[in-house]
Amino acid sequence: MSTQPLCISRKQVLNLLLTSALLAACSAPGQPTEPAEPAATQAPATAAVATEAPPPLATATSVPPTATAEPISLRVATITDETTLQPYTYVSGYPGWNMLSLVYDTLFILDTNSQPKPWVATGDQVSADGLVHTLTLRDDVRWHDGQPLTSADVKFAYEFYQANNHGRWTLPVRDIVSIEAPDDTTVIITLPAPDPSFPTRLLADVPIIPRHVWEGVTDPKTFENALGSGPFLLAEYEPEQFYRFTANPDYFAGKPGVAELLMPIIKDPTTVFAALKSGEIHATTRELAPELVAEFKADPTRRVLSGPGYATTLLQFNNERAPWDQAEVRQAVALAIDTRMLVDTVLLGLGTPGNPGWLHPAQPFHDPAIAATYDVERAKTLLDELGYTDTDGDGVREAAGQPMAPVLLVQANNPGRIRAAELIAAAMQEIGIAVTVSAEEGTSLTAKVWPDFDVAKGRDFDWTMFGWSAPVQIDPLRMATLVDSDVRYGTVNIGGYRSAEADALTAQLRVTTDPEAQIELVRKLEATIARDLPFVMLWYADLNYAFDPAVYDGWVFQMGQGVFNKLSFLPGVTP
Amino acid sequence: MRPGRLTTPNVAGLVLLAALALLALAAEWVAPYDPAERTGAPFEKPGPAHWLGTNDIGQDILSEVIFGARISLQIGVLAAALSVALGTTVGLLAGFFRGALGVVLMRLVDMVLVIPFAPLMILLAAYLGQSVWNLIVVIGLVTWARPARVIRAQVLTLTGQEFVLAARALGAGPLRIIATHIFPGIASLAMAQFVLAASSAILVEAGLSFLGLGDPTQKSWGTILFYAQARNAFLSGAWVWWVLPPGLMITASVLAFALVGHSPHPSAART
Repeated sequence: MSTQPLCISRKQVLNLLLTSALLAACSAPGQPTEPAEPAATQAPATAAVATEAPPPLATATSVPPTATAEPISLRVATITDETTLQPYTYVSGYPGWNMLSLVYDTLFILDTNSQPKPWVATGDQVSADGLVHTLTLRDDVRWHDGQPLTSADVKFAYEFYQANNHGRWTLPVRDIVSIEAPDDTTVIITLPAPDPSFPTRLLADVPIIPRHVWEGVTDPKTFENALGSGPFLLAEYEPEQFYRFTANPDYFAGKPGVAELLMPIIKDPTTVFAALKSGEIHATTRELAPELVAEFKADPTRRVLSGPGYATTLLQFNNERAPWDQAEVRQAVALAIDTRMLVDTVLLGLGTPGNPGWLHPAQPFHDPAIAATYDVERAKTLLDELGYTDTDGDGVREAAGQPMAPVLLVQANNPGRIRAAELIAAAMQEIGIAVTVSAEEGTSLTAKVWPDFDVAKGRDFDWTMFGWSAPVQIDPLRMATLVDSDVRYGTVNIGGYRSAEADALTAQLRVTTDPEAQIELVRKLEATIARDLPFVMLWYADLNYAFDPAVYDGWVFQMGQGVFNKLSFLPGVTP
Repeated sequence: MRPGRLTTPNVAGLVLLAALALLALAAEWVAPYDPAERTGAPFEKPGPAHWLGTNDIGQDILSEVIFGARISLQIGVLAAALSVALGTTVGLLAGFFRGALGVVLMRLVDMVLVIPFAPLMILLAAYLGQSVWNLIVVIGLVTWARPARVIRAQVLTLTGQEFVLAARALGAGPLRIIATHIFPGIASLAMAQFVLAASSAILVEAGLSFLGLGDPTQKSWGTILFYAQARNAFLSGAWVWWVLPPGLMITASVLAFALVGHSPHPSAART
């Protein structure tokens, strides 16, 4: 979830410290914590083609009904303090990046299908060899102080991120060979190799900062200035209390649908939803817990917007530790897990059972032929055939003389995952595998599973509950990072999975820009993952958001990512 | 608490405690279901099949509450035993050896007493990791100072008594004096301290587990409350059958211990 996971867990401890009376205190363990999201997002293949003249932005000439009424002051509770909210100080991937995107712009933007579309840039012409991207900028984009946003700002921003390391922005711009700005509205970016993920990973993700403000800044982490070009201006920030944004009436894509956006920071979920019920707030960046969805849907004065979520929950094996290093053993484990039951029990049915090949079934790249099988008897037969039987009659099978008794690590602050771990342990008992569930605090779990967030540093666990945030799933080409055995590419291959077949496919994917060929490769990779099962995909939780439609009804659901995005505040605009 | 002279509150406390202990011991027979088994749909309301409804994954809440007595009482008793054993040892040594050792030990006691109790406990629980045994050790390590101080005071009184001076004059060694003359004099006090420590240990266990710092895979009353809070029982109205019963059980056990430790002589039991 965050770019600085260590800070988050410290903060949680701090939170607890601040609660004076033990029993009166309400901590916030309900929120699913995604492990640190590896630096960048990559692009779906369709974006790789040179974009032709973009469809013109539907400027808000058709006046929305709300515009005639009183100026709207919208109160949207958020769950984290994002400090001074500039590109070097915001904290979390969600909702921090989303809040940042209200103030800053990117050259491309993810549309409601989470596909990159032109935004500040009107198009991206790619050279035949895939190396040179020529971007044309709009000429009517202005910074909040009235200065025009030009190609010089883009060049400056990307070079600034190259020079000043940041967990999310530096990686996508690091290998750029050159950035040129021949005139005010043209940017020419030369890459060292064709990169099909360029539009999502860089153009739609990395914010542009104003050169006239940032020039000369040497320590960006302490620089306090959130002047951007986005639909909102950051008017006020009270640490640990609230953010107040005011609309940018001259925004190039149209006037924002609300005049003022007040974002109180409320960390405790119960408090947030109680405030939403009572009308103290009108919406929240926090997803609605499954058990509350029916209740908010039943309330005629509230509305719930739902859709598939791309955040994943999975059972990760240590693929280097026997007997879990054998694909057949992992297959047996997967066969004994009823993912439908997990979704029905833990998410009350509000989710999609895992596709063993990783991709969300709603993903256009997904091969519908790949699906999970639940068959306990076959799981037993599989283990019997391997010779892993219960030789000493204690109900637990032995593999090479050792009982099959893995420790399943689970994040102690994530009740849903603990429940799932308990259910999996019960399912494993059926097939003679004795699972011990061990709940651990986030930092100590990460130290065993993904030390220093660097897969090159090895691993020390049997099984663990894990999950990746939406950006890893949005770009199907990013599947390579999950399975490539080369640590340079398999940056989130935390199980140490190693397969020559998968490596060959990912190598091809890296250089393939033809969308059809990409789909074919992704599907082959899906089939490989579904067969070898370096991890068992458990579920993709649906995203549900409740809000008060009487105050503001412009919320737009962005595929896999939710409603808190720039487009939700720009009525009638389709990128 | 003075043996042989039980007050009415003492008797009431003992009866309540006995009832809770019986419930914990006989949980298998009393509870309608295995609390680990999913016997209903998630979030079922109370009904004939599940008197207190079901929790977020369809386990019977009544059975959870009954089995919870086991973990909660076990933690309470063991943590209190550790706390009082430590406290008694330190109190005895500090009271008897009033030289350098006594000074050092009492400064240590002062130090532990002034450390803010709740935050230290939360930190220790967070960094030692989540297990029942860690919880017991944490509670024991943080709560021993009070008994130590009370017991030292009593030891000081006793060592000035004539029978101790006489024993010393006759050449008895410190170990013998402690074992035969001092310890019997503080045993009932240690017992009273144990009862007090047990009730606060149960409360602390519930608090830490509720905050998610216990072992979330163990069914203690605090853990039941943790899931109730995490799954929004306070918003959905489920708190009536999901939060109140474990809450009342915590209250009952704390009350039971407090009543057992109740004494008409304030000096004996108060800290």
